[in-house]
Amino acid sequence: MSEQVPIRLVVNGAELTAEVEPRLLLSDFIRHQARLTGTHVGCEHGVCGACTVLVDGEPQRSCLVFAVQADGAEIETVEGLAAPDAELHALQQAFHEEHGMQCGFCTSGFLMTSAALLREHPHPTDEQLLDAISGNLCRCTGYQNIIRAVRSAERKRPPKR
Amino acid sequence: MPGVHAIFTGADLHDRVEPMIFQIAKIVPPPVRASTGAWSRVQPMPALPTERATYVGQPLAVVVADDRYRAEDALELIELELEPLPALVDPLRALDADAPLLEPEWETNLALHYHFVRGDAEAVFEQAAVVVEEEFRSHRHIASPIETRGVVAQPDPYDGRLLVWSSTQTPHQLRDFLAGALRRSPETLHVRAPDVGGGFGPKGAIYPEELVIPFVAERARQAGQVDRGPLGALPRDDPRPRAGPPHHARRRRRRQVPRAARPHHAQLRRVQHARARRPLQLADAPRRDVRRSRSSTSS
Repeated sequence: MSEQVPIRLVVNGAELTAEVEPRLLLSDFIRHQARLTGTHVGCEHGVCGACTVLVDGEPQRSCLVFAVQADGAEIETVEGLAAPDAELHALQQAFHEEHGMQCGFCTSGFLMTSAALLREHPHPTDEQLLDAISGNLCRCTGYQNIIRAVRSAERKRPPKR
Repeated sequence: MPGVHAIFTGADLHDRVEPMIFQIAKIVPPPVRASTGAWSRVQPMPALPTERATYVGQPLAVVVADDRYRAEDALELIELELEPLPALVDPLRALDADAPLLEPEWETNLALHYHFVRGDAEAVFEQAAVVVEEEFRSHRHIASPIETRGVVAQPDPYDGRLLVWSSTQTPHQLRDFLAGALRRSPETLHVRAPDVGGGFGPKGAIYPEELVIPFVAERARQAGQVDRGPLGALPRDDPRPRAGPPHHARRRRRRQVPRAARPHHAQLRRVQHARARRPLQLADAPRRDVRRSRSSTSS
């Protein structure tokens, strides 16, 4: 058993501290230590994007990041999208309305990627949108409704978030 | 090794667990058999092999540990002594008279055969203005849900039932199968399919891990090695298990094996199959020299 390293992260606004092995993946930390299982692991290769979370605002594949690398960072996962009173984030509502999810396994990754996209480009061009989500794979939907969902959220999203 | 609780190999299972048989392979309804001449070979498969590995990704050993990291540490210590056998990766080659036999007891490698005719094809061809003959090959393909397979098993501490969660499309089938394989009555098994992250067909089959993990949960519990059932997490093409609650079981397998055959591995099964399932070999009867066959290129 290798050394334990103390880390401190802010996850969805809440500070977490832990002692972890250097090899612990951020995805495993999020799912097992933080007990936030909305982030999914599909390939652990960095290919599918299902594990995408925001690290200091940037989409990252948590399966390719060690928890110790995220020491001091602000992490946002899908559980942090909805408002505290549980009203769905505009993207979540849009995915629901536009049938942008079926099995839902890729969805949290798409939501985080899209959330970051709309923050940076509130009205993305088609090229920007497709480029942004090109790192997320979906096996169920064929992507069209995902694109519709992001466009729908773009029209409706409140100024912040 | 701290955090590692048990290791199982085929030798631990082989006389305690019934071999796996695809029930579907045995069921050919009489009308279908009559019209197609369908024939399928029943292929019992050990949950963990004791003598031969026959396909890429076949589990060879299981480690039970506190988490996937501990399990991986233990796996690193397992040494495999494998003697390579001739690999068979081309379904056409498999039918050659001199092809290596996948199972020594078989006379051929043919596992499934059917021939379907409707109407008088010969007459139609003879009357056709043009007849086109072609041979079509399609590559190997596999449905790839984003969620990999996964199975958790836990003996109920109070009533002795075996609780099983599996990313499966067919929980009833799995329950009935486990009852037979584990030699317990179906009422003592409770199989749950939680939200499944895609299936697309392959999760409708039963995989060795879905038998091995419940078995290991039973045994490890009986031996007092764990107080909760172990989790087996199953990769799709890349063997990276996902961790779970306290205990974690994994199986030893070759990593990152490309779908094309690696000749130095033990005898490889043929081409058309999802990983870790008993593959079926299709030999379509030729229709006017138009044949479909599969090539072994990776998909």
